Formats: sequence, structure tokens, C-alpha cells
Amino acid sequence: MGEQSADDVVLRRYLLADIDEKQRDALEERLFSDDDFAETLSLAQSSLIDDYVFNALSPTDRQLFEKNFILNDERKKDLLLSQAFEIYSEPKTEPVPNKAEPKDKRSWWTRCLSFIQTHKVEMGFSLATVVLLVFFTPGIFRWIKSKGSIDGSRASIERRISEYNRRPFTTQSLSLRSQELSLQPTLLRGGSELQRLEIASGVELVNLKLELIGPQYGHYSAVFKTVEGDDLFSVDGLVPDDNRTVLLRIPSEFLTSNDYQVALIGIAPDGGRIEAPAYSLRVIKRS
Amino acid sequence: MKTNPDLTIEEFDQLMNWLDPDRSRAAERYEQIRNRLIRLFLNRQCSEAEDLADETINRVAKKPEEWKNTYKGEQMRYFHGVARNVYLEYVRDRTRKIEIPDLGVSPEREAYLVCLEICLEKLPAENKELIVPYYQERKRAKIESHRDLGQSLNLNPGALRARVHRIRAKLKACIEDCISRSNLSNDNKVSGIYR
Repeated sequence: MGEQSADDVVLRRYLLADIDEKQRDALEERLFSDDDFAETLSLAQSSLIDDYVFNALSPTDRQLFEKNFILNDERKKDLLLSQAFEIYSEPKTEPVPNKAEPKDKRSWWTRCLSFIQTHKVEMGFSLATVVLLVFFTPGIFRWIKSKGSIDGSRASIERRISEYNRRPFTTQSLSLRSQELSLQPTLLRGGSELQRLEIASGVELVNLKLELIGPQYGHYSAVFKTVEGDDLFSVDGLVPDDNRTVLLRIPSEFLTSNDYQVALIGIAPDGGRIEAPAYSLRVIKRS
Repeated sequence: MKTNPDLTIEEFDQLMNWLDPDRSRAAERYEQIRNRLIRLFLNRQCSEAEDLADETINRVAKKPEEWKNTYKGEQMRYFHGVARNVYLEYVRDRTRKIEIPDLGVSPEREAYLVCLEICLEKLPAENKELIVPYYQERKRAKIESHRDLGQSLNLNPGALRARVHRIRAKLKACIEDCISRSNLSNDNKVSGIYR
């Protein structure tokens, strides 16, 4: 239950011992080198216990919790605390006092004036808002109209990128001069420098191999962003290979020298979109 | 700070000096390392996590020649490396039985409930007004209310959870103190309001 980030998902799999050895080692390495991460793990632990007590875990996760997580008195105390909160938080019904409101016999005009007098500040803000809207609305409409043309360019970029990521791969994408980079999720890299991609002159296509951690889905979408979080383009219909990687192909003309993020979204069988790990990279274009 | 009974005074002092020349900072560092080790072993399903953490510290302390003047890296990583070896040996020698605590209704749980009520009354009002609604809304399984609660306090969901976590840690310490005092009074029945 609750909103879980990609990091939360991975940490939960770790706490339930539902993670492979390589990922476990990477997380433990970080646990011993990053104080903030130790605190994040502690938070994930409390959240897991609460979810168990408040019946927000799947049946499989409940079994893993009972088998792999509650192993010592300290964790049992945390569980007891959550159980105590669960009982304490039972909704209580209280009788609502029956107060009859005296009927207001003043005229509607007198009531209006009285309302305005008692809500002077709110009325002032409302009036200011109306004035601002009158002056700025035309500008807002002009901006919306221009955004349509920006969205049009983005749509065109996304269409072209989708063509390169279609399976089976087209001969066009296979014949282009390409460059490849394997990316690890940002979570596993901790405070390390960004992974670098130096695009050599003449390279037409960049192949990003996104290593997966945690649960694997049949399909993924990828959203390419700046590090400030602005979406640049997205690609749907990506399929992981047997090595637990997702291949994302991007024509190099759409990349400039900059820092980027790639957010991966797993598509569940029921169509649900689950945030998967994120990746960061620094692109350097050689002319 | 829980000290390791298997170390001599000299070994212990050497270790503490290595952690930090200032003894109080060294003690904090020792606790931090020990807690991380315990967490590592727990997360590898070792029910004797505390014993294994102490064993790890033991081994480091008993071989100062390996780190005293020669090791230049991060201390925490050194302990991590030794812990991995301790774990491998533990797994090979897994004759120990893992006992899973009873998760059902128990007198312990009742004691926690009573002490929770007492300790909530001791919380500053702002903390009580945050953690009680948080769990009430969890009971009703309303994520949207968490957002509303967070927004009313100018906290994003992550910050709200972090703050609840900190309040919870304080409550836990208060509850344990409450329970230990009720045990020390030789009265096994904790009186209070039952729901």
C-alpha cells in the first residue's frame, strides 16, 4: 500500500530476500558507504512492517515476510508497535451533538454585506485574481497554442525513435553506424559519477542497454528527461531480453552534450504502469 | 554501548583508537558499525545477527596488524569485508535453528497497546496530531488522505513518511521503557484501557 518509488520497490525486495546476489551485494556495499542510504533502508523497513500489519502485502510477500524478515526480537518489537497502532487506530463513532442553528431572518442584501465585511481579505484576493486573469488570459492562450507546435515536434521525434525500437529491428536501424552503452540503475551506483557516453563523430544511432533490477515485466516504456526532470520524449513497447536488459535505441541527432535521466516504467499484464529503476548518463558529443 | 566480552582491554582500546582518537566519537562510530553489521546479517536471514556482528568486530579487533598502520580505506568497508567471510562460515555451519517469533495475539502485544496509549499522551501535540491520523488513515487504506495530511503540513509523501518514522522511533523507545518499568514493578498485568 502507499505510493512506492522505484527505490522503495528494490529495497523491499531486498528486505524480503527476493533479490539476486549481485544486486544484494551492490545494495549492501552502499549500506556500508552511504549514511543516507542506511536511513532510507530503515524507513523502508518500517514501511514493510506497516504494510504487513495493515494487510497491504500480497500473499507471496506475506509468506516471504514471515519466513525471511521477522528473525529477531528487535524486528518483533517493531512489529508489535505496528500491531498496537493497528488496534489503536480502530475508528470510533462518537455521537454528533445536535445543535439547531438559529434561523437568520435578515434580508439577503444585509446578509451579503455582512458576509463581505467579515471576509474582507478573501474578497480582496478573489478580486485580485479576477483582474489578473483578465489581463493574462490572452497570453496564456497564446502559450497553449505555441505548445501545440512544440508537442507536434515531440510527436515527430517520438515517432522516429519508435521506428528504431520496433521489433523485429528494421534493416535501416541495423545498418546504421551505432555506439553502445550499458547503464546500471542510479540506485546501485550511489554517489558515483554519471556514466559517460562519448558519441564519436559519424555515429548515427546510440544503443542504451538498461540493466534491470527487481521484478521484470513483459513490456516497458522509457521516458527520456533532462536532469532537471523535463520530459524530452518517451518510447513504448520495449521488451527485455534474456539477460535482463532493455535495449533503447536513440538516433544521435536527438542527443546533445548534456546530462540526462531515463525513467523506465514496467507495464503489468493488467496494463498497470509500475515505476521501475531510473538511470542517469552524461552525453558528450564529439564533432 | 554494548561492549564485546571476548575482547581484551588492550584489543578494545586499540580498536577504539583506530575508529577515532576521540573516545566519545569512537563509541558512536562503534555503535554505527555494529548496527550496520546487525542489519546486514538480518537481511541475510541470520537470526543470530547480533552474535555475528560481535564476531565480526572480534575478528577485526584481534588482528590490528592488518589495519593499524596499513589499511588506508574506509573503515566501514573493512568491517563489511570481514562480515562477508563471517556470513559464509555461518552458512556452511548452519546447524542453528531459526526460531520465528509468534506473530499472533499475545500478552506482549497487549502490553504494547497499553504503553502506546501512555506514550502518545507524552508526545508533543504536533507529533501526536501527525502520527495518529497517519495510522488512522492507513487503517482506512486511504492514500489520498496521506497526501492531504502531507499537504496540510507542507510535506511531500516521502517527507511525511520520514517524519512519521522518526516519531515512531521515539515512541518505540518510550514504550520499551514503559514495559520494562512495568516488569520491574513485579506486576505482570499492565492495567489500562482495552479496546
